Amino acid sequence: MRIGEQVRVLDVEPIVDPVPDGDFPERPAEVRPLVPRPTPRSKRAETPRPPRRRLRALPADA
Amino acid sequence: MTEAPDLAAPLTGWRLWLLDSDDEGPVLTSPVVASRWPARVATTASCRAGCERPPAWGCGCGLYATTHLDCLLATGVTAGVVLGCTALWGRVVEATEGWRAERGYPLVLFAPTVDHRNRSDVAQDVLWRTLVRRPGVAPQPDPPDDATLRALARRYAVPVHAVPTLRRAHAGPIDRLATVLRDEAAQGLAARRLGDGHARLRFDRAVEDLLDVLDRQRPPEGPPPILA
Ligand SMILES: [Zn+2]
Repeated sequence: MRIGEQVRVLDVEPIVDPVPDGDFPERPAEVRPLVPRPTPRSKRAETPRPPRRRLRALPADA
Repeated sequence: MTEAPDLAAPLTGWRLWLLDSDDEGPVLTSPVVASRWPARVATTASCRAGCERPPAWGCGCGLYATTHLDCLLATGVTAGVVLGCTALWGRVVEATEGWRAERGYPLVLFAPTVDHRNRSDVAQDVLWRTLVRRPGVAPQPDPPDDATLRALARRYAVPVHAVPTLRRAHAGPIDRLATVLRDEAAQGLAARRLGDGHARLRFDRAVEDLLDVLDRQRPPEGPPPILA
């Protein structure tokens, strides 16, 4: 994998652990239901869509 | 006295994994070296040359990811490979087109699936061999089914989306959306982990926008041109 010319070394210490459950080990993992995606030969009309309109209708960032 | 870190949020980049399996189900492994990315634990880079704390400036070690998704789509991405946005942190060597990092964990995964009837396609095999440079890797596996992808999502506790086989033609149209998603994955991480619904929606929306373009780019019928 090519990443180009090296620039600098950074020390990155996230306040919140990027690993799920890292902060709340007692909480079970939250996994969003998998939205079935179409296969290359499936017809577009048969593709279930996520509730996109509901997402759009919600208020902007608080 | 300890020095303050340069960044308090993880970096995020794009990379590829192989979709392998073990006794506990699907597992992400490196396409280049025989090492797996464990579930629910940060992956920590190691160095075969013996660097004390990878990534070293003068070595090639570390966990790799690119700034732009189009870098990874130059050849295409086929079934058996998983594309994802990963968090990177710890000691990180920043480069002009990506990073080498000490620690990493995926934040969202996209698994190309392909029609079984195309399995004998020569182009698929060529692409598979191009992507997988690890010695001793088996021939291209069957495309992952929904159950496998669900198991992957559950095991790693990250969203997994099935996508069409990704082609070079996808690179331009989705690169901007991929960057939006990468930024949101990093900037909204703390809020999402703390249960902020708005942050989760922004992230979900960025994923959906990317998936929409991938669907629109898909040829209406027939086998997809893998190396188009
Ligand atoms: Zn090294």
